[in-house]
Amino acid sequence: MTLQVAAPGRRQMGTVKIRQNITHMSAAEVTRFRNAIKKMIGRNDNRGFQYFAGWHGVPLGICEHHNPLFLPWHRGYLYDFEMALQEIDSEVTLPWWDWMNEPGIPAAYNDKTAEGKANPLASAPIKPMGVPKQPGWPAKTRRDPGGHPPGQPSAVPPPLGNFYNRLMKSSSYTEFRTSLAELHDNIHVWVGGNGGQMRDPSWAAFDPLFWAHHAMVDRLWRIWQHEPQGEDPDHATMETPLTFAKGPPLRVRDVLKVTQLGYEYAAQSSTVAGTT
Amino acid sequence: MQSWTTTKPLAVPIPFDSVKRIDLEFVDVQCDDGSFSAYVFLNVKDLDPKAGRDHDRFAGSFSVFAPEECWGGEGHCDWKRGPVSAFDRRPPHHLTPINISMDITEAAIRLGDPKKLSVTVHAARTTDPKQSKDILRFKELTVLAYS
Repeated sequence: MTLQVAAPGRRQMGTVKIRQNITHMSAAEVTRFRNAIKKMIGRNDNRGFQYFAGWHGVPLGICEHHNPLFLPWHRGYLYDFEMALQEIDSEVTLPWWDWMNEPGIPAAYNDKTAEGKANPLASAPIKPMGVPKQPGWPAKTRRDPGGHPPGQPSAVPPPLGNFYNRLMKSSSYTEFRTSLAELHDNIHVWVGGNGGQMRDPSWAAFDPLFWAHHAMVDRLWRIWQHEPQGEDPDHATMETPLTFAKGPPLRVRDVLKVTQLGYEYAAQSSTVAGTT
Repeated sequence: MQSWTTTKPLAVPIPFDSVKRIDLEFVDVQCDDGSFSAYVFLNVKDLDPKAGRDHDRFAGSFSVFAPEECWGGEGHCDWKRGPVSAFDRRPPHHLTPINISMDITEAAIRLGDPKKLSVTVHAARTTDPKQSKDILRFKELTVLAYS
């Protein structure tokens, strides 16, 4: 049984797809996702990986952080990315990285090779669209998880489960998104370590792991929305348009329900026949 | 690495035995000069520069996700430029300073019955700690106690 909802803007029902924990996906599912990402990286137009990475960093830099639009903007961003991914393979969804419960980077993203070839989830080229390359720009993404000089302050390594209860007990949208932003920042800095791209907003989205990290951020917001205290943003924020490089135009209120964006994080349902 | 300590202790604003939660709030932390991590310690003197999470006065840590270098033209990353007029409805600059809140309840309880809190922060970039002298820049530090 799959969940169907009325698709916004269309007179038809749409089947909601499930975003999964990358660690729990089957080998075949990971391969399918990896192949879709690889094809997306190979596209050099406004459906390609570089195009979307450039929204967050070089050249557009239209991302939102440390303000009330942080969560809605990234939810819309992942939606646009996922739509482009599903143009390649309609059954693929964005997986999430459970850095609340799992140590380290998931093998699907960490393994240097997959099926005898370079793993496109481990590193991706950096070729910002529409701007000439400048000296000092990185050519591809790399990570240095936990990297820091000895004896110096560093980010908290995952799993971050110790922070989960306090996060979910947040009593207002402001408190929640602020607490989640701090965990989000921590993961970016931890993955990037000493000079990796994930630690820099200008380059972070060029790393394929960025999308699994933000799917987790989005999932945590989704979970908190289910909590009794999981309130909506204030009215002014709800009506604020979100800025993306192309449509559809979305306001904050348009991204509050993930099923209206065609996905859900919940477990699959099971159904028995009724009486008719 | 940069080390910063409160110039004078912060008073815990209510009797500690009625405190249910106590937060530190770093106000207007600047985030325009690269990502960094910081360790926060309470009521400690002569802190070893290499003190870590296992120090008995360690209260918590935070990391800030911020761009390393400005790739744009002159003024691109100048968050102080602000609105151009009263009609400017664009959102604030990406690099507008942020507030960072930290729950220090457990660390404060370990101190017994603190009436004042002296706060020491060690901050450093992970990329080049030698360039961390002024990485932590903020307007003020507030202690918030909830009864």
